[in-house]
Amino acid sequence: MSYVLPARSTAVSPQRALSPTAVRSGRWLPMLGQQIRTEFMKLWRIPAFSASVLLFPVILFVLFAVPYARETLPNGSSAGKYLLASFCAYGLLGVAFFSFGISVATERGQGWMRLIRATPLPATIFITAKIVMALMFAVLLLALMFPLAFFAGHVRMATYEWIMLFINLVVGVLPFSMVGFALGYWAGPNSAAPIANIVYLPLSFASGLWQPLESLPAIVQRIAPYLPPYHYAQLVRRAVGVEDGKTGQHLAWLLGTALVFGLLSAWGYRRDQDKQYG
Amino acid sequence: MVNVIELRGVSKCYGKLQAVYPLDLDVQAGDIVGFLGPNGAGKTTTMSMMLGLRRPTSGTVRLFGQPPSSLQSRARVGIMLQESGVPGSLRVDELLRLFQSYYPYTLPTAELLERAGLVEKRHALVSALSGGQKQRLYFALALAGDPDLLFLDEPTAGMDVEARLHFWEQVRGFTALGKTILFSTHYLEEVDALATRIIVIDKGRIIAEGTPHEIKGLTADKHVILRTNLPADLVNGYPGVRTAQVQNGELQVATTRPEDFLRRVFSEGWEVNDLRVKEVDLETAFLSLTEEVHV
Repeated sequence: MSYVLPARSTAVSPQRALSPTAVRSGRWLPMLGQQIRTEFMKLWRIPAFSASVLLFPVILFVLFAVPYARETLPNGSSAGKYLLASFCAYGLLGVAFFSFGISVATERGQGWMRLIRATPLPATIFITAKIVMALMFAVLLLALMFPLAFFAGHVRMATYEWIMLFINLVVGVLPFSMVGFALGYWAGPNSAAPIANIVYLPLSFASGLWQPLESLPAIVQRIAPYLPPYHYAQLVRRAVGVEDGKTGQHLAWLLGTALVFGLLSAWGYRRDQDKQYG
Repeated sequence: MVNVIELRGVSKCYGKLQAVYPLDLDVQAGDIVGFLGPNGAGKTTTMSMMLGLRRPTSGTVRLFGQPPSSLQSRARVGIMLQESGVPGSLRVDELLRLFQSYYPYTLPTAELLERAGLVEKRHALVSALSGGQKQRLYFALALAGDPDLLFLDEPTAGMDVEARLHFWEQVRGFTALGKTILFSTHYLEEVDALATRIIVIDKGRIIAEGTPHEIKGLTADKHVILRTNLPADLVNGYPGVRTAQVQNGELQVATTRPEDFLRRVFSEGWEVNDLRVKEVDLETAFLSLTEEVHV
């Protein structure tokens, strides 16, 4: 498989002047593999990113969830399952916000993006690699949280519930990665990180990702249903049977988020392209 | 034969500012084109349009007969830009493998490291490289696709003399394969040594074009330098003499016909010591060209 087309004729395109040592390359699968690896290592080696995105949710979970994990909620379900679902949603929200938002915002307008643009790397592979990179960080975070919940928090549930929890959490990264993309294209290279931080923590709090919504102030309880992460958390909790909200309504909210921020990203991308390359 | 680079009526406006006036250009396979001009002359804008990184306001650009933004032409082009800003948390060999994966044909990693003089630095993080080493990394990345056309935008900026010599040696080796090169630089002796063709651009227009010999010929002068008792004032009246002045006790005469001048000096019996005749260097030619336009 290769995207390279043979030269149609010498009249259209003169023959290549290859070096004697040249070898075939440019097949799309190794290209995608290299691109994913690059996107991942680029952020993995920046402790300010990898430590805060992977360790903060783990530390918060240990401090604020593990001690209460064996308790039972008023509705009779396990607090451990509820808290695991909530803190994982909180952590993955951070992965989506930060991995896209900050990497897109800092790279945009740098010589690096110009250089990449001048290569034959197709845009589809570039974007796919970024999304796969975010999903890898998401899986990595869950690989820390699930064993921690099992061994330290003594969270127990059926295998299919673990699987459903995993799937719901990871798929939920996609609409929020659109939020991250939009942030990356609309915020400046220096303001993306502060904006992401300012939005991330209050949003997580107000959406009930740290503690049950019932224990939050009345005003916050009224706002929460209008915040997309609230619906993400409800959906994830529903997957492990600790909440019985309306799946359709939560899905609609997440799809709406993906759509609105997807359009915002596309608009921001076009605006940036015109500015950089117009 | 299809031109490697073909520009037809290509111009660029940024708002009301006319950065490049409509220009035509043909570059053939095997040409080594030196792109010269003062800062802000429109060099980078023109190169960006050739690379498909800027859309021309009018006109068309073709590389190998294809639009420059098509994957077909990008697969055959290698570029070295100023301030490429490669992420510091990646390693040299990782970046090479990445770029090698992009192109339909590639050169072996060992050869790229060798050509760029980065063999010892192959496992180093980009953030640990010096400015000159980064430039060499960008060169290696530009060669990753074994390009038929190489764009080099001020490639030796930040390199020391030794690194510059090694760099141009590598570039020259590359041209032996029939590859085409377009480069800009501030070091005029580099253009003089390497280019088969020079394009001088100023205020968004091509003001001169030709071989280094022809460009130097545009100013036509040769410099005659000698120690003599002949007064400079007198020489200024000689036919064919453009300027005459005394510098460091030596008389310097700029003339189109040095033979006529010397014949007259000898026949009139003036003292002549330490005589030298020098061809005008490119820098002098270049300065006189761009100054004429500025006046």
